[in-house]
Amino acid sequence: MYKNILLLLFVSLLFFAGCTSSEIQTGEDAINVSLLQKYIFFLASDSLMGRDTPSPGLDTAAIFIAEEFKNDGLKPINSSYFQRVKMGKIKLGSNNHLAATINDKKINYKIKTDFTPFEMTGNKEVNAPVVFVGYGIDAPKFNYNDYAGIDVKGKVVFVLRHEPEEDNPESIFDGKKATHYSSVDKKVEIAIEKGAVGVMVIQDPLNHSMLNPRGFPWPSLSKLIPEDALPLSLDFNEREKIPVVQVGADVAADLFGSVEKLKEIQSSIDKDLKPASFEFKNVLISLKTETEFLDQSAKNVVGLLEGSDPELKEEVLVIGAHYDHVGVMKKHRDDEDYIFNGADDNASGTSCLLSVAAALSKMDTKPKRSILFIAFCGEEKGLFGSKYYVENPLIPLENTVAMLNLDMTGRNSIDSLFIEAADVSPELKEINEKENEAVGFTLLYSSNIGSGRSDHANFIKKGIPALFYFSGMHPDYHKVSDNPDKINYPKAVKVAKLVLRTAWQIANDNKKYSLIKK
Amino acid sequence: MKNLLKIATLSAIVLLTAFPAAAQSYKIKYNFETDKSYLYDYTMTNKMTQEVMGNEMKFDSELNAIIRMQKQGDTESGNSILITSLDSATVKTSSPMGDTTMVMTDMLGKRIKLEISPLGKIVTREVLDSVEASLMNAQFNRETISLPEMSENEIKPGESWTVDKVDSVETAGGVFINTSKNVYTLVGKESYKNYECLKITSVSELTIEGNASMQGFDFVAEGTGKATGTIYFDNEKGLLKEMVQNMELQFNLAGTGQQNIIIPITQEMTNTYTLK
Repeated sequence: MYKNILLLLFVSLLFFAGCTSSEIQTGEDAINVSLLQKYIFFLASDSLMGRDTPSPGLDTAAIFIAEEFKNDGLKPINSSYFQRVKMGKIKLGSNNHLAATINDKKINYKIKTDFTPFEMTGNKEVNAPVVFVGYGIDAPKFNYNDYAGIDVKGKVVFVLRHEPEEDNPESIFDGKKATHYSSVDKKVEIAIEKGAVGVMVIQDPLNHSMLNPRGFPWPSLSKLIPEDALPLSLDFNEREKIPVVQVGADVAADLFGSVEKLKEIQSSIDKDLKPASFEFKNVLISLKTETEFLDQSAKNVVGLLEGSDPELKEEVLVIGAHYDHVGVMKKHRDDEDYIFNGADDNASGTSCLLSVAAALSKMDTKPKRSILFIAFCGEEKGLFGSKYYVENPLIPLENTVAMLNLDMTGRNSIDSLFIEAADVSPELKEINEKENEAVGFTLLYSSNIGSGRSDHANFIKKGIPALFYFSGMHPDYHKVSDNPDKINYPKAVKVAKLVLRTAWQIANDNKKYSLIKK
Repeated sequence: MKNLLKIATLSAIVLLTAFPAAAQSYKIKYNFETDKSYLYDYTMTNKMTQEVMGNEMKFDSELNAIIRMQKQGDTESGNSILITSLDSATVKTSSPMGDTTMVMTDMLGKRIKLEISPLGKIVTREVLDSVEASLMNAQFNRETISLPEMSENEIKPGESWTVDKVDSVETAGGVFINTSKNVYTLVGKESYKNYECLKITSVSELTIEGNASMQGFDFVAEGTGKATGTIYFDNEKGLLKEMVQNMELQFNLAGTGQQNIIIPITQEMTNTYTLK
């Protein structure tokens, strides 16, 4: 009996292994050069005009990818294959003013001459007392707090740029290097936490001679900067916004009596590293800033392969690739190629992703965990699509066990492949290495761990282990010559097969993977 | 009463000894010797800060170089023909990406031919060995020492003269125009490293404007700056002994094309030239 049970178990195991082996073989067989060519030649065709974010060409690519997801039996999420990624340009509005009433005397200041809003400013008007809070830093790790013993709730704060002892190699603020407390963004974050309703920033006069109110160089206030140079930015309500302006020497002189007086105060803060914060007496600030958001949203394309295990299907593996590129060259000769087709960057990764989806659709057995395929937009603008996704996940991030990112997977030698972020994702590295035994790449591990080079970085920032598949740099990178004829299709096939095998293992696993924080 | 007289006499003596020096005027001009090479130790420390979405990135660098200036001869109008080049150049950089040291071998020995008036004004400039113009090294197609321009008139201590300069630098398919308004003031005569030198201070206002295009990335730059300097000039030999300039430049780089970006950049530089 016992022998029979053992035999049965052995046969079952053989059957299961054979089934798994043949399943993965079925999937691998579905990935071939002609499939990759079909995808890459379409995505990198001139008709898509370089797939800039946003652009009609990108929209066409999104529809194509969504159709493929649908054909492969992937499910939409919330009835849609698209996730709208809210992004746009922030333009300076026309209603901005700054005035100070000092001892009942009102002084109106001029934009650009006396004050300039920063790009993170809010659309608000405030009328409030003003408090000088030194460098505007509260840094418990450095035992330094400009806000100690002073109430700024409902008030405007006046802060110096940078941090104490800026040029002192022995400064507690990391010597001469700037810590994140030095940035205006961090000062504003702290001011909001403390309840301030507005921020006036001035260049620290002790270390810098130019005290002009620089703020953000808005095209509308500039002689040369064109309006279309305004960068795209994501629109998700990360935090409250309040008016934030940089002010010039005249404003400082009106408030402090003279710039020299402000220098003296700064000097004493630097010397003692003690706060010298105070509320200005008989001073009221009237501050209004206005920006306009020009919507230029684009779409992530999503498709879900639901897991087969009743419990594990709640967990998800994300396989991602960005499908955008950098558009067209505006200034060019008539006879010159001007379209950045981005065949390798990243029609190749997107096509590998589509191939893996297609392969899984051909397999009879579905993985236990779910697999979410995401084609990201806006990667070239600053990893926007993936950043938006991790801030607005369609499946809770706590259920996301891993992320595999494909970016530039079709060039260079067929023998080798770069795997990045492996050093922070040790179990994923192990699985990938094991699966690679059947695929045969020489895997190259870059020391450029999980950094901000591609979309996986945003998942790593959220604590999700990831691997980044990358075939290496080449002379056509971000050039009009990155065309489909330069792609090493057999290599792209191998990459897709490796990703399929690794994804299959992860999706049939029940383990949680670690992420090493560096 | 006697004390008051003493004080008055003493004051008069002090004034008398000071006055002749103050009253003396100088015709300041360069006097290079033909076939002679002049070597300057050059150090440039540069702190650059870039801002992107409220976050700052700091890049520090230090260039140590030896500048060679050799006089070839004179023109008929009495101007000097000088060949300038770099004998050595090493750059140390420190940035969030890491610290590096580079020996700039590509720049060494690349000659610029200058015709310079006795007052130090550049009359003509010819690049004899060009360096491929890119954003990084466009400046190396320029002389690496900018001699202060002296006054056409005789100058007394305390007096100033103004020099306006316009320079256009071609780089990366575009042109950048730098202007400066420089006010020089003769402080007086001072002993500098055992040489009797004229001490001159300078205050400059700077502007930069321009545009360029690289691989579908079109960009413009605009900015303003301030500089102050101290110069020690050996007027007997007609040689610049030392010049220290502190400069702060705020400019904005805006690009369209593959990326749309606007980056405020601040550069704080100290340039020190010392005759070896």
